[in-house]
Amino acid sequence: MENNSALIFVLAVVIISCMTEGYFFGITASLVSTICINWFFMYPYGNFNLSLTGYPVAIISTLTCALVVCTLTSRTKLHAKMAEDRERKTTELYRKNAILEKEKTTMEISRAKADVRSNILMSVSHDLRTPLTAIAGAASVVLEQDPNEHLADNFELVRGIKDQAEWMSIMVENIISVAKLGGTDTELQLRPEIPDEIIESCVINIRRLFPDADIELHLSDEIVLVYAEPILIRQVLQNLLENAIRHSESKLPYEVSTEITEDGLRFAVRDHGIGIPEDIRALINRNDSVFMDDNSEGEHRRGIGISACQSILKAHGSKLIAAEMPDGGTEFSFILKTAEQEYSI
Amino acid sequence: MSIHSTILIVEDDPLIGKFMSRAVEDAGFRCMIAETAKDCRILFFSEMPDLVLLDLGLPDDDGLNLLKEMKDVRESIPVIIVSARERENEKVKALDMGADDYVTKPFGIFELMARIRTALRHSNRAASQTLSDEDAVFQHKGLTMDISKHQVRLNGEEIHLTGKEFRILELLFRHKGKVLTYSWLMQQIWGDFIPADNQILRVNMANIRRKLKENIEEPVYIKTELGVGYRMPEEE
Repeated sequence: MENNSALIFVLAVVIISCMTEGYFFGITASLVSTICINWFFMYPYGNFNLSLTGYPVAIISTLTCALVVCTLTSRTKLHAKMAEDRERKTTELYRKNAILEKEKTTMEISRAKADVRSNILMSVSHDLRTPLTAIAGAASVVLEQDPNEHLADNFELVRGIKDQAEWMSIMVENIISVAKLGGTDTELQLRPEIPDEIIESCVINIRRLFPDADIELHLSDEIVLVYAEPILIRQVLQNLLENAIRHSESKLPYEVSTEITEDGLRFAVRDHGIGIPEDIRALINRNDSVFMDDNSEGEHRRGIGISACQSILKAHGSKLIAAEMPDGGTEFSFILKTAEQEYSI
Repeated sequence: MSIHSTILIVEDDPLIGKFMSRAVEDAGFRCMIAETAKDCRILFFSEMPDLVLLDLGLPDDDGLNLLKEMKDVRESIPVIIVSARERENEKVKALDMGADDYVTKPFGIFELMARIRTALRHSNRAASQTLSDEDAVFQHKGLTMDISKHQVRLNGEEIHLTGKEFRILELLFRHKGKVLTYSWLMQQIWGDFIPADNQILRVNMANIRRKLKENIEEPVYIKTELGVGYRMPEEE
């Protein structure tokens, strides 16, 4: 009987050691138990007697039991705590990493945006300075000269001022478009438009700038409506035609065409000229910026027009494609979505 | 059109005002410049100009308010809007409010003078009542239109237009030289049953232009004013 009761006390010591932290409670519990066992369950009952045989052994074993269990539990607890810590740290790390990743991407995106804009800005300021210098210079020469003596000269200079100013205004149109589209993420209000009207307006403007340019139109016979912001699409066509006229050295007429395809109406502007370098064409087709550090002045000027085309078309959910034609020259094309006609005439 | 017509230029940029007035005076008109809305009001009432060139971006007031005031006082006064490209919507609004024409900056001086002459001629014709004449017979180059007979001929050959197409062409003839905006045309033709967008007008117009065998590179009868409306050009 007394053996069994002593075992119950040992069990209590084990449980207490398990549940508590450190050694204090375990040791206290083992001392209290040995005293209790001695007091209640050992002869003479109700008395404390240290001289009993085997009693020191009982004290030592209960104490050792308590110590061992305490050590084991605290070690387990420590391990559990460590594991917990590790886990928390890992999740924290993951979270931080995710935030960092996100920040990195947004930074990269904004850097890419800033790159395009600063590219355009750099290029524009450079390209505006040249005509501005020409205008200011020519104007001051005209002012300082005796008008009667240099009549023919002055005429030339003033015409130069007019040409340069006209060219600057085309430039500024493009900058306004790029700034408008690039600055905010506001979506364009696209309306159903008659493509022929956009082309008509474009050709009239181009004729004003280049009265001698030979332009051929090959337009789809069918009446279709395309979703477009007409002034901007006119600007795309104008830029493409202007680039072709200024740079392609085409001997044959420039061609503007429309054609119905599965994806919408395909607009194309082509020349029969010298073509454009393959790397530039690749940049255009990848929808990358066509600006490069070592661009010549002419290429810079062309670059602004192309960049404006790219951002305008992007805002239309379309993109500019440049293709080398088998019989020579380049074709620029893009596709605009056609509108369902809701009315029967 | 009197050669002594007086033109009021409302423009806050002195250099632009200067070159416009110079061009206008060289063409034989009398000319005044107002650099603010306040000056414009004073000159408009004291000098009774025959035409106003109005820049919408003024320092002291909205150009549209000015337009409304002037049209309220003298409905027949031709007003040509001078606008920058960023103000596309304002331009259309001004036309809908009764402005007669517009030029977009930067504009050439030839273009400006052509618009001035057209607007003056147009205001004189408006006074001679062809706008409401129901037996009118119109002619523009090879195209003739007999309203009472409901007949349209192109180079002597009759062409068939639907009812709506006929009405559109009639409006263009009656307001020859003037820009007719999409919303004005829609209002005139569909009235209260005006459709939500102008698609139907655009398709009708495309059909008319095909029937008139218009050459897109150089339209003779109906010109596109991109993003604004249409115009039957005045013969020069």
